Amino acid sequence: MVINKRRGQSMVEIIMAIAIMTVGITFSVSILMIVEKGSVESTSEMQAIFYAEEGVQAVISISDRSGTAVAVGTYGLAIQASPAEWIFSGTSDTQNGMTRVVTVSTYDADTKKVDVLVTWKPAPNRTSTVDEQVLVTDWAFL
Amino acid sequence: MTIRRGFSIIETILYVAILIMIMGTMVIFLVNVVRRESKVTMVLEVNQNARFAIEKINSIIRNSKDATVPTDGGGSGSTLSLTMPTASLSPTVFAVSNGILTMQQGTGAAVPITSSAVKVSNLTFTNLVDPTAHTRTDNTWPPVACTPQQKNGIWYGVCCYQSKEYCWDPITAIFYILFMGAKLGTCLQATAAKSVIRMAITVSAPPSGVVTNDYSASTTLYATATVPRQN
Repeated sequence: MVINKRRGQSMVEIIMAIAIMTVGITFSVSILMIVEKGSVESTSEMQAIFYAEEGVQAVISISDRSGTAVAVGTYGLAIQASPAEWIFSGTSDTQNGMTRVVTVSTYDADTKKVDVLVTWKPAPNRTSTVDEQVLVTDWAFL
Repeated sequence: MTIRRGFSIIETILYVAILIMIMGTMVIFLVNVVRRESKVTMVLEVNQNARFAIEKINSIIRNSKDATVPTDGGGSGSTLSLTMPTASLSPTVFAVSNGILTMQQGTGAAVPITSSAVKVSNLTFTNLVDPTAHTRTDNTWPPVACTPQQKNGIWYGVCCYQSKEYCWDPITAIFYILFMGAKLGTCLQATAAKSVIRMAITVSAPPSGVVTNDYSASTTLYATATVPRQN
């Protein structure tokens, strides 16, 4: 009489175990990579938010000097050397691979709507944007 | 009938080989986890410090009276000195010392704003203010202070026209007010900014003196804040 009593694991079971483990590890590693990528992208998102907010503040400073200087149109922002102040320059400006475009439109007779759009590419085939809006009023004419 | 007990040498070698493979993978995996975790922590630390520093400076600028360093009219540097409405907090000075941003108010001690886990590798303030922007345009008499005043029996008064203030005699004033949209009195924009501070801060990790081979993080933020004109 031949007793065929197998103990332990067969080769198939071992292979199965390894396969499951590999899938698990790959899954965890990819999650870690996503987290890391997310933290890097949150950095550029934060930079973009500050860049847009700066655009808003710059337009407010231009409007403070002269309400009529904020006219309908599409602008970039720049710092003029003399006199030292924020000015509109060109149709966009760029910093650290981010492009900022200021669009001024009419809101009412004394007020302009200012839209600051920051665009950047977190990956070659993807575009992200941050958008801030503010209303500026030409106080001198109220 | 043959009954085998225990493992053959080949089986043992096979088991050990598999074990080494599995352990090796696990170790590589764990090392990876730890490294990525430190990198993510570093990025977060850098971001939080940069954001906090710039928000702090922003809020102090908005509550200040004047910026004395850097100089008006485009001066720039890594130190910002502000005159505050409260005398005991004047001057409030922001500067970088050994990679750490500090704030000193009045005669108090310099307080660190950023943590020692990061370094401030660049800090630039630019004082943007146009000294001529809010002066009155006196295209007629009198050329200096244009409070309503009399000369040769005629009263001259201040009018606001196209965001600038003019001293006009009544006939000119009436013409501009009726037909050109000028307003009697000073332009409200004369209360505009005293200074506009543009700042750029770069916070990076690891801090000075700490060496890590394969990871680092850096964030540059820009901001503009206005020192209000307080009368």
